[in-house]
Amino acid sequence: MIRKRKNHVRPYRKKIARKKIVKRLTNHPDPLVSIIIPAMNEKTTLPAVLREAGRVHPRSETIVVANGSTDGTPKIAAKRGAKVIHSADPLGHDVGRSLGAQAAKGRVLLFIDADMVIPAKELRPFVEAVLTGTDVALNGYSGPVDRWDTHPVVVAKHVLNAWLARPDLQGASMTAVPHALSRRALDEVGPAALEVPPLAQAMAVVRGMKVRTAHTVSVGKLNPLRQKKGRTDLLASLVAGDHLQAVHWLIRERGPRGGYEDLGRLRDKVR
Amino acid sequence: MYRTRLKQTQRASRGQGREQGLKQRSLIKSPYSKKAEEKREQEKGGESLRLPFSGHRSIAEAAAEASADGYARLALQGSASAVVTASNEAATLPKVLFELGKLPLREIIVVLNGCTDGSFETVQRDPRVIRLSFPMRLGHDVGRAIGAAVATGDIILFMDGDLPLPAEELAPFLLAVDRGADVALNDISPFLPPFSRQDDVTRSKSYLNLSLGRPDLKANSMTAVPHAISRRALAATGTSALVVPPKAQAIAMVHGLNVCAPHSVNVLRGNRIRSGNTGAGNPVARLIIGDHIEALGEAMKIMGARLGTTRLSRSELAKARNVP
Repeated sequence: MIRKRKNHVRPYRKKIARKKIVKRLTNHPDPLVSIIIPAMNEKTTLPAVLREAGRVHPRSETIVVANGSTDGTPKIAAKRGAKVIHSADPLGHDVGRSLGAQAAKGRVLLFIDADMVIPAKELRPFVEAVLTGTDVALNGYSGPVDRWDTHPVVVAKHVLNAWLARPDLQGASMTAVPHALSRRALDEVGPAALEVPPLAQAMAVVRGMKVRTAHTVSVGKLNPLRQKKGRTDLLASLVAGDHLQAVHWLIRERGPRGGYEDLGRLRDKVR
Repeated sequence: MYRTRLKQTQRASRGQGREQGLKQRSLIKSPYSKKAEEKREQEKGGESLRLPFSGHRSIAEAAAEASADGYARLALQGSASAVVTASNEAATLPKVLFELGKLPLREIIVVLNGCTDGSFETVQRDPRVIRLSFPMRLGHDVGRAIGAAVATGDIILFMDGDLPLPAEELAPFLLAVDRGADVALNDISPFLPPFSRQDDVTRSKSYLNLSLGRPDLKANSMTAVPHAISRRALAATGTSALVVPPKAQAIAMVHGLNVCAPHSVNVLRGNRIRSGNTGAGNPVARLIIGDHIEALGEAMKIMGARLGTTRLSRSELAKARNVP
């Protein structure tokens, strides 16, 4: 026999107004991991980002670099227990990360963005890599490459790694999140270099830091589409310039050929 | 700025160059064609002449054959020189010179270096041929610069002694420069795999063009032959820059010269495999990567470290991008 259960619908049930429990982050007094999140007008995604940040490591601190926000982003961050660095002016991701790194106390610095919710499970491998000896743990995501008209930024990332004699890194870059740094790497390149991520990466590789891809998170799908001004993406131009700046540094550091041989060219034979 | 203006003119001339290249090809009869083959056999009295190229026919003969074949129609406004570099290329060099002989060239400069296989003897005496011989190896691309310093033509075509290409595949480069281009590159893009399977050298070539505002040039480079340059380009870069081909290319692009890729010749297939040029990270690959770094460094000397990429500061950019 089939028992049918009647649907009991109480027509006039008053909604119980439960007070939303905001689970606050706990910032450890002596953190091992510092999670740095630059944020500009990200009130919609920030709570979820902070929730995931709180789940990464038991001994962590979360630093939100709220910059140029007019939607109450710093308030939300503070309410959820994050440490907040406030700047009225917009800074951009890279300067934000640099500021956050300067305030960080942990041995591991994990960098994520406020506009992209990445589950804690996907973030832990980066922290784990740095805790086990890696200095720069990069996201293995290289962008779309199975095509002919590859995005200029993707080309730049691959070429910079190849020129740094690290073709194994493919298109992995400190320009992309998530990535994590060791305290040693931060001291070696200096927080100012983080403002130009490919430069920091070049410095880390050349100065013998252990740089490797720790885990792959397909951030391409998570990245919100930005308004494009004209037909050229402004960020693409900035990132292209950042890579050139890294090449420029490489030339200053290793000579006009970036340390590559001339294979016995008798240049003086040409007048 | 000048880049956008440049692009328009280049695009226009590029399209033109291609069209003309195609037109020219239809004018010129292929040396592989049955008719040409038969004619050659008749002339030689049915001797064994099965190969399209023969190393034993003189350059003067090539010119005569060319006029009979219709190459005389390739009328250039300016004069043209060819520079052929060779290092132990006795097997292929005569074929290369025979094909060049068909073209309306004022001179063919053969730069031999470090040859021990009798390459020098294979180069026939001909009023159009200038032989430069160096007992030691000059190194990659140095011969090209030496040849260019000697060349007197308005157009200079660069070829390698190990790569015999039919004259019809070379004519489009001469034509493009004759019609106003300054650097006419070999368009290798039809022969490339997708980005994921490209080697670091190819990617470096693309990166140089991208960085200098010419994504349309893709991976086309002066590192590859055949290519031709104008006297104006040579004056702008100087002969010494030709030692590092990407550097010469970068200088040409920075100076706003007309760089184009009018014709495609598959040289990737025919390239001789040597101990030094196979496998990832081989010495030649490392040399070419160094060349591209040097090229970007040269461009940075003129245009600044960021090559004029960013127009906004990070702060302004953040503001512009952050539209809720």
